[in-house]
Amino acid sequence: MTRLRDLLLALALVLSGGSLVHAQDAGEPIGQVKTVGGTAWVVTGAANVPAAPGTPVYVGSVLRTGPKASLGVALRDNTLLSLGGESELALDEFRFAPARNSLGLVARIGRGTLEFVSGMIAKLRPESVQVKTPTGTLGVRGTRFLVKVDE
Amino acid sequence: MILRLRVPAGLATALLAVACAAPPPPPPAPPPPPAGPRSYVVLERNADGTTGAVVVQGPRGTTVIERAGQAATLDGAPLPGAFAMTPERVEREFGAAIAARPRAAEVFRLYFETGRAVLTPASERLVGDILAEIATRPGVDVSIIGHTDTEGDEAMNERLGLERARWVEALLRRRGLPATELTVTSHGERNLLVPTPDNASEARNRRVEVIVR
Repeated sequence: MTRLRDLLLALALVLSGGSLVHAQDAGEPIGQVKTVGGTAWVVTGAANVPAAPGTPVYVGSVLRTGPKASLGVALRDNTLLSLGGESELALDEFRFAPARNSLGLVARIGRGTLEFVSGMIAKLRPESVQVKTPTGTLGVRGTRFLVKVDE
Repeated sequence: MILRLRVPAGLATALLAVACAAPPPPPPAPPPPPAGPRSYVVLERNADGTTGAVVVQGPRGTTVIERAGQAATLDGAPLPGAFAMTPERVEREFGAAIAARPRAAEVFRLYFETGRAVLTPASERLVGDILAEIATRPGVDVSIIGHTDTEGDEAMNERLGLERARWVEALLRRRGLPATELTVTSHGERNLLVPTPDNASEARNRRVEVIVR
């Protein structure tokens, strides 16, 4: 039953697609910017928004910081993500609907530094939370950790 | 390649005397930071004092780190024993990211009087705290999530949780909830506070959580 619903949802997404590059069509926000130091951006499709407290982030958004900048984001499942300078983190997947048995969080760090503090998705289904890096993939077992990518 | 110089003993003593007479040399430059890997993960202690684990899967295998301060390269290679991070190095490399960490979400649990659409006195007292907490946070967003116990049908419980959450939303709006980013959802019986088997009546699971971020 859940499969069928997911399938219909995917179909609906495909049919309504074609304009997904616009931030306003990126669906519901999955979190918000809470802290900013220096210059940082939330890039969603073609929209490149300077980050400020309250700036929404979406599935598909890329968080980006300039030199000596920083950025902190809280996701709707209480996951906390914060970046140091010259960093880039893509939010590839966020599913937080326990009643529909739909849970998952995948983020991808391209470069820079990240602190990750896990939230409810990691508590409810730890194996569904991943941080991808250019080299390997990190599985999260209910915890906080730091990642540096410099290559 | 190491050069070995044979110096006559007398000359050595003379050189030593000269060296002692000379002004003290400038302090040695601090050693360069340890080279170490450039891309890695470091496990931290959680706010509650516990430590979880991170599993690294990469082209060279799978590695698990389980102790605070323990680090691993991102290629999944087995742990080099010496690779532990000092607090100084963590601060140097990650100080900006750690300082940018948002405040942890504040979770308020509201309970109803049995069988009535009225909050318990303890929960009623939390309403003011919720509004005060919202006022302190820049770029605040709020979630209201309804939860049930496992008694009865799953789909029905999802609806019931949503009804409870909407009831709390209406209450907060009457009490002056500011216009803020707000989501109202239900987790039904799929996010229990107290784990129980199916079809268990458990008052602590019948709650609405208001989360302020």
